[in-house]
Amino acid sequence: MKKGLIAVFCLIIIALLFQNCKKEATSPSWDVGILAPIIKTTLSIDNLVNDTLTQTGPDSLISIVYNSEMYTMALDSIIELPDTTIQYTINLENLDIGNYEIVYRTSLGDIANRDMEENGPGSDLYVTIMNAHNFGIPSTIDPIDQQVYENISMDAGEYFQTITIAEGFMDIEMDNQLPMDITNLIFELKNTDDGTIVFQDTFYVIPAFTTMTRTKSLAGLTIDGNLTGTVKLESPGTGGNVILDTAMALTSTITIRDLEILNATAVFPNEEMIDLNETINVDPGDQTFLNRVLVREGSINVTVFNTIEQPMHFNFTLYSATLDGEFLEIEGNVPAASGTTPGSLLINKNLAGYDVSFRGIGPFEMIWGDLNGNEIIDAITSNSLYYKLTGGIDSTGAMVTIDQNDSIYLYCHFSSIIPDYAKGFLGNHTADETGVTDFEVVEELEDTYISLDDVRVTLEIASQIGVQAAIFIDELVSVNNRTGVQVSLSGPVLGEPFIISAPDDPYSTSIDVIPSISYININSSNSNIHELLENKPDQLSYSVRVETNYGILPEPGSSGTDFIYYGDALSASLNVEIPLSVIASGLILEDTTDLELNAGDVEDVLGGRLILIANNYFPFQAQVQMYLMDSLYNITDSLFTEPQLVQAGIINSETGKVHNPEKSKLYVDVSKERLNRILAAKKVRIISNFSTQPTDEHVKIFNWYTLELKIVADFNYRID
Amino acid sequence: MGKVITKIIIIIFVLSTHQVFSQFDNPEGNDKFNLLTRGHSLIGSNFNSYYSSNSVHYKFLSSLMGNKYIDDELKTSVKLKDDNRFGSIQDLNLYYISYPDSFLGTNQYGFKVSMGYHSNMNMKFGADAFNLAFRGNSYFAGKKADLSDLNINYLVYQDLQFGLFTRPSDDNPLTYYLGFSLIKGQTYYSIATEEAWLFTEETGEYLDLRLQGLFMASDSIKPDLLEFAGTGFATHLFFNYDNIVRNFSVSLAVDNFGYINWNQNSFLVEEDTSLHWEGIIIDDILNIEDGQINGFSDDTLQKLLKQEEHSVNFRKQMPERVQLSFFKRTSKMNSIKAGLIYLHDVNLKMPLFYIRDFYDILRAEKIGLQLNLDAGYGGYSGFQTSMGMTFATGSKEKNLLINASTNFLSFLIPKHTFSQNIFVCLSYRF
Repeated sequence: MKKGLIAVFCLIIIALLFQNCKKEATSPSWDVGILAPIIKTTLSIDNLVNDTLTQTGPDSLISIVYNSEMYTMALDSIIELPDTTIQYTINLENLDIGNYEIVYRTSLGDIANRDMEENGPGSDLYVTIMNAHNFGIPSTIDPIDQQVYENISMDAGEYFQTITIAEGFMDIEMDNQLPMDITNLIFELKNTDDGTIVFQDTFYVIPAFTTMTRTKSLAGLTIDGNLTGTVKLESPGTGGNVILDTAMALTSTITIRDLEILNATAVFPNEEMIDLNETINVDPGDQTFLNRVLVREGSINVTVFNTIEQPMHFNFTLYSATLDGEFLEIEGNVPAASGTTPGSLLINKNLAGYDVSFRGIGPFEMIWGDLNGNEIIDAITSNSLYYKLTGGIDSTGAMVTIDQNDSIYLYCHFSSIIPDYAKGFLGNHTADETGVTDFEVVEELEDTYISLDDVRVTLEIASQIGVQAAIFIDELVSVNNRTGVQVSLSGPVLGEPFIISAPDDPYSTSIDVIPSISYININSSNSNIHELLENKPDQLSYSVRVETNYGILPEPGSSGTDFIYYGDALSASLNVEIPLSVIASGLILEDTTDLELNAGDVEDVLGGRLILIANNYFPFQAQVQMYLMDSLYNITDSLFTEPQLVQAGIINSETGKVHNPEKSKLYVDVSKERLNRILAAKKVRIISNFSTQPTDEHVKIFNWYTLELKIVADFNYRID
Repeated sequence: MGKVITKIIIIIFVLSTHQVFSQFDNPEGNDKFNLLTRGHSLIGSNFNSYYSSNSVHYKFLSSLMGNKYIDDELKTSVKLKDDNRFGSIQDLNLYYISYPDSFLGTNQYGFKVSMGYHSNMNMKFGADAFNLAFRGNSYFAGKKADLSDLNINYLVYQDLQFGLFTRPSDDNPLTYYLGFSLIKGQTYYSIATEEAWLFTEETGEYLDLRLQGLFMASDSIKPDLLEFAGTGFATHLFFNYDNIVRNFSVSLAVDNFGYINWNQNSFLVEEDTSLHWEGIIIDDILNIEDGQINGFSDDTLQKLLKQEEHSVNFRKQMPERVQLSFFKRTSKMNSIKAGLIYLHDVNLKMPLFYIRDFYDILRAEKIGLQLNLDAGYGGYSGFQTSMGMTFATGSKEKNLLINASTNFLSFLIPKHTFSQNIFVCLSYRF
């Protein structure tokens, strides 16, 4: 016992020690590659101007253009596609529960037997008919007194239990294939349960081998599935010898047809109840006539409610919308209602990426013929979508009750549609914009470099919207908040329409629209602009107005060629261009700053490289070198083995601007030893050698130009 | 001779499949009920350490657990699949079982008291998750590292169990047991992602993180053995039928049917977020302050997971275990065991179905050595085979039993072995 206890406790102690040892032991280790951006910074003209532009040297002109954006008209100002709904309700009026047919046959044999029942086996008529039939001897049937066939069961119970009919007809067809005329035929049909007469009529003469039909309206009647019929008939006989066959018969065919029901308990067959080829109009308003939209965002929700105790299916195909060559198609199966709870189905489909033609049903009818049944090929139009909706009941074979309150309700809702591209006649829009923009000329430049005579003021309109427009300057006020003085613009330039031409359509959402640029020079000949500048404004107050399709009448139909892409805009800005005389090449920026890095952050870094990524809008390139120094300014290392180049932004020859930054990647190998030197450094000297590009041209520096720098670490790191 | 050849073929087969598994032994000690006759008691302890995977081999795991350096060759040797599974269980149980002549006024009941320490780690992960963890994100430059459907659970708890067992009569081959556990939760972490990925731009210019999933953690300031981060309750059932005449037995055990309530300082968040990272934005590149970098990791990640806003108590089901086994002694030196084992919510692909063949290599008076050959399907892997060794010592007179088993192939071919088990049982009957 004692040994056992000792052994057990030893095991526990060993196990606990194992747990404790694990905590105190060193960790496993492995190396991982870390690739991540560490620092991002953006240098603007304000960061550079103090140092860079105040240097002197060989000549080339640089102009700083102070660009104050005043107005932007984007896609949502021009096109707003309204949420659009398609609703369709199928009720009993639309429900075809089919035709029912009941056949009752009275043969010559039946007539013989009836006579035998009434007059005994030796009755004349029975004997005559049976002998003639059995021996094939032509015989004469004498006139027959009235025979009554009662309680004839005409059971339609497998199709329906009861139907209350709003509209409908019953056809009684009497096909007399007997060799004798039938006279005074009274046909009566009534509901078995309550004895209500459904049909009663008399056929006075039905000649032999002829058919007669009577039709009766069933409106307002309630018909049971269990019907009882009565047939009374007489005959003048054959009037001579004829061949008799007991199979010869008078056949009564009752057809209940074209029913519009108020309520019914019936077996509803599989039935396609909906087959619509329709169009829906989408009106963006403002005299806009669209013929094509590429959808960026948006959705279609289809909701179907079914109060009928039978499942149903539907298919909604929007032929006007395609994605990768496939039409937009939504289909589903809606479960049957359960008691008072309707079956329902909700389907949401993302419309992003769909190419939607707004030209209506016309283009499809030109290929597929008349689709909407109006017996013409519809014209191509605008703001119109073509869709096809089909659906029907999927019969379970069960008997279900439907009344006037039952329906199938289908609701399609297009919502929150934002175009990526829209084409058509984009309407006559007028948009006013009033606002205030900061206008702060770099202080260092104010006194030294501004010569008022050389300053050029221009209203620049850049339009990426494919529509002709006109812009009006209604007001421009120079505001000096330091002095409280305001000076308003006056002269012919005010209120005058300036036409903005439309850019070319690249016909691709992946290619930027090259904006059409229009300039309105505001100078002393058309305004008092110098008075505004002499006021040394720190703000500009303005009111401008843009009218699209200015002076152009609306073009209904599909011929419009205006276009707009998502993200593109018509913008107006005020450019104040201040020419400066500065160095064009060999411009040196040198700065030294303190450096204090924590070795704890990087002690597990094994080495790797730093990547300096520069996205440069400025039209000058820069050679960069960074020197690490100790506290006594002794250089301990340089980051680059040789100076590396940050490429200049490329000026667009048409607009004179850099539209896309030029990307450069500079690599710095960092070994563990070098990393330690970086950590030990106390100061860093950054030397940049700037050169304008191209070197022999006058370049403009816009105040929104930036140099974005990112430092990315690509290090091996030991995890332990 | 035929049997020997069969064994050799099996051994060759085991070695050639390069897959092995080890058993889930029942750590509760309930199989000891059969050792007791009325008027006797037993004290014992079971230690079970187990791991299994369909991709991570023993060499990798032993390096990881042994605090060694994991080089690229070792990483590459891991047999990654689209759906990788890993499970690890450690159980230590001390139990006292008594079958007194009279208890609760009858002679049909015995009782058991036990206490245990349990640790369970399991995970389901894609190849990208492994490579991101062990190779870093530069491995995915220009690509997405897909972390979707990642599931990691780590649970440590202790329990104190009381239970009654009954054997209707001395001759009756049936044994029933019902036990209840009071549970002390120590640590729990769970990560379950739905959609998650990390995109690294080709030169690291930016990172995009998509994170959608459920994250749970127990009270981080109470991670120690003596701290209560959660409390819970569980039930245990055991049934055994022992047919001595025909030398077979059937048993069914259902353990850990219960839950743990993790305390108010626990952390639960359903995260659905996206993060675009381009580096710390510095207004003046020429005046970088060190704190700007230091401050990033803690604050930003905390905000990302919104830890402060999601401290909440929550209830988590225990990883229930169901074991069904059939044991038969087929000859004097040979016996077989077959059954299934299933643990709930521990990333098992399916229950483990197994069959084990025991062969007595040495059967002396006080010592026994058994070779076992196993085949199985399911668990954390697909088809599996293994070879183990069981050592037992003791004597009927002194009533001491020491039993230890392990899968020795993991020591011989560690890069081709995907599971390991060390099971030690000490018990003393008196």
